[in-house]
Amino acid sequence: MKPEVSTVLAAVSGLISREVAPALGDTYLSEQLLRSAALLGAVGEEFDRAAARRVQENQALRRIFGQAAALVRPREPDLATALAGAADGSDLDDLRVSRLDADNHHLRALLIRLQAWAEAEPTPAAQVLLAAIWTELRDSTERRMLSMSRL
Amino acid sequence: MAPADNSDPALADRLADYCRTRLAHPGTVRVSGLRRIFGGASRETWRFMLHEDHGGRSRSRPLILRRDPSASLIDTERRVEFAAFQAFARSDVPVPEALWLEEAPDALDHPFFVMQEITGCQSGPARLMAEPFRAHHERIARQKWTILGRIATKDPAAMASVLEPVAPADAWRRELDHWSGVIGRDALEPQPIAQAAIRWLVAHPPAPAQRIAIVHGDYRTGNFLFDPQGDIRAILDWEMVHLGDPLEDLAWGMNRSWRFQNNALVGGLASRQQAIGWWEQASGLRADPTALHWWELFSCIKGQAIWLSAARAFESGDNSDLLMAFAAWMLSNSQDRAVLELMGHLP
Repeated sequence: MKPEVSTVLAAVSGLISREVAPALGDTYLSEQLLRSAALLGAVGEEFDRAAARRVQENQALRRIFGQAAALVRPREPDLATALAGAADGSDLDDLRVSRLDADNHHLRALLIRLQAWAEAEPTPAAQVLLAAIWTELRDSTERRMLSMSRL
Repeated sequence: MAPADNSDPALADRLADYCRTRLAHPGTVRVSGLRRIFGGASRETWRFMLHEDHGGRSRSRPLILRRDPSASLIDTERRVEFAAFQAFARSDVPVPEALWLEEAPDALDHPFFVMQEITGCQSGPARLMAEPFRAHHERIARQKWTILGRIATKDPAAMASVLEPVAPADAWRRELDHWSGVIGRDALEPQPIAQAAIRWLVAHPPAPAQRIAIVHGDYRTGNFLFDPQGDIRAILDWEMVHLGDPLEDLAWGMNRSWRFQNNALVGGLASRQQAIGWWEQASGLRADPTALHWWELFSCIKGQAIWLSAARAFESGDNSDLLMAFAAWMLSNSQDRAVLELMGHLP
């Protein structure tokens, strides 16, 4: 699609916020329009990166799971099996955002289990794992950030 | 379809009919200028002028209608908010006069209440962050945290009839259970950062509350009315009022979500030390740093629960107000970053 989707949405958003909303006499409707413009701007910002950031995050989680499975197995074999299974997955056969999100939700749910397990383990290896998890959580938060959420 | 000027003539007529039933000497009653305004996320807020004509005497007064929507950002009882306005009426905590509460849906389709409009004021953070109000920031900030301290000194008995009691040692647990439950129920995707914070909060409980106080529940920049002279004229949005640890209110107001891009100043108005100092002076309480840190992290969980609920309400179609999507997109990520910061995982 040319012009680029992000470019079109940025233009529509700008038109609403700079010209249409200020011309409205009604404050409530004007504020609703400004919110519409901000949401369109956010969609434009997300459009180009949507698949890329999801693939990046899913790969990062699978890497962590692949390294954690052996560490977890002696104490939590079921969790280790789930980690190993998830680590073997791939996103490359279907890059639709809905599919990537479904995988991501599965992986993030598993991450919660793994993180809780690592918090309860006093070993140095578990603490290294925990640090890696926090690093990925920090990175994923940065990847997901929108201009409007930069508070 | 609603008129482009956002008026609602049919609602105005029904509102006039309702007001007539509540006036001691109704005579002729008319509603004019009914317009929806932005007034928080949990209720529809409408401004109108009520005209009364009785026995040759007439008066007009500006009023506010707060009506429940089908689903809101925050699920609350309007009875509780109405009771808060009554409890603080004519006190050193400024609030609008609460007039009528209607919990049956017959009159206006949804429950609602009517209160006085405080005229000539603003509430929006964007206005507050710009001139001419910027020049009054210290004055407004001092009032903001002093009033919050006064709320903490109010005898909780004033609202005991509508609020659940809680013991000083249990206040943290009750609030955490409630809001972590909301996350568990409403999140549309797993929340590893929030869940890690919840585990930490459970494992490191704060000291018992110094006293059980009335907690506003949403005391922040954006929820009070200020005038051009830099005076706070009313504290609004008491939807989440409850009994609990007054540190909860202090911490909520310091949440990063309410800094409005002025990262150095809490509430976008004052330094952390100044705010705490004013609050301690007015409340007579001490803001223990360890306990305050716990409540600040908790405020992120509460905030995240609200943004996740908004996302679900919008996604499900229960509430198609764009504010729901806007709040979720704008604040959910920043709330996660606030957790990372408070837990020491941001550089």
